[in-house]
Amino acid sequence: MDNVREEIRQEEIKKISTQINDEYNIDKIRELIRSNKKEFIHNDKTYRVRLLNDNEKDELNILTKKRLNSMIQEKDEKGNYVWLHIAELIKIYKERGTVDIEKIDSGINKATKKFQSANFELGEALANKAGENFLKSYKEELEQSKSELESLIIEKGHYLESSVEQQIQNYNAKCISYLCLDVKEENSWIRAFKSIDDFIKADDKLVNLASLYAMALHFGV
Amino acid sequence: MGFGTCLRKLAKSISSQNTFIAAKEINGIKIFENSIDFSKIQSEYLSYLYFYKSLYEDIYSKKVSEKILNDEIYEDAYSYYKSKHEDKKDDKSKGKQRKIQATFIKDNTKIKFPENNKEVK
Repeated sequence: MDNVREEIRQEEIKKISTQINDEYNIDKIRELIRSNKKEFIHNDKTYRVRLLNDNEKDELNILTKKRLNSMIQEKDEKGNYVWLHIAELIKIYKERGTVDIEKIDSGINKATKKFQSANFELGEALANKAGENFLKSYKEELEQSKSELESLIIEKGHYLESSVEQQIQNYNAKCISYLCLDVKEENSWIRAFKSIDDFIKADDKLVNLASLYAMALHFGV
Repeated sequence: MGFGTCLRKLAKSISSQNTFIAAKEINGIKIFENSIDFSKIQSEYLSYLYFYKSLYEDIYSKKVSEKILNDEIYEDAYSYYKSKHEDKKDDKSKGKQRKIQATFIKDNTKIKFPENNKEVK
């Protein structure tokens, strides 16, 4: 009897703790939504992430273009280009016969249609107030098609991760986080890092936290 | 809980929905500090506010059971079905309009085709 009580108590504690955690996360996002700014403390310093202004957007453009120009010209010791475009990578994979991106794309199209159809069927069942068993089976079908779709998208992303386009996109995201991160010093806000390289080399926890808020602000959740 | 789920929970909450309705009706009540140049996350939040407003309206009018609110998958699926269903309804009503136009044209000796604007007998 006591064991059962203890289990119930633990369940309740877990539930309350999840609720508190959820509320805490919702509060964090509430501030970001209301003001397009988010303050946080890291290693006793107050930081702030905010939307980029027009000058910073120009700065971002220059940083990204510089990086792109350097990437498309960079060669290795044998004189081969280090970075390849998506189209070049797809061609190489095809020539080697290792990966067929077209096949993955076709799989993505099929899985998307399957997902949409499952989504529609579940929605229709809900609108027609179908019974719990029907809903459960439609939901399982939907989850399965969603997971198929996600794994194909991840697979494609994995093969094309080293492309110029993907690398530039990642670099652009880092630059945004660097440009919109301020630190409070003597009651005024200044840019937290002097250069993008300093930002990239900084403490992982700070970089990740700043990137999380910056991405939510500039690209959504 | 990820940011995506937090954003949905916030938009779904009764207090957010009340603020949303009040902001539309009462001048001076604001959802955001800014009133133009919305960030991506603010645009997504607005979309979710509309999304849940529509779900609540359907629940109140008994079009769907409130149990859809227990699961994000149910919420999305119902909304997806509803949008596709409404698209079909729109297509049907457009088809009807076309038929009405054709009958009207048939009763006249001179007809004007909208495609090339040529008059024919």
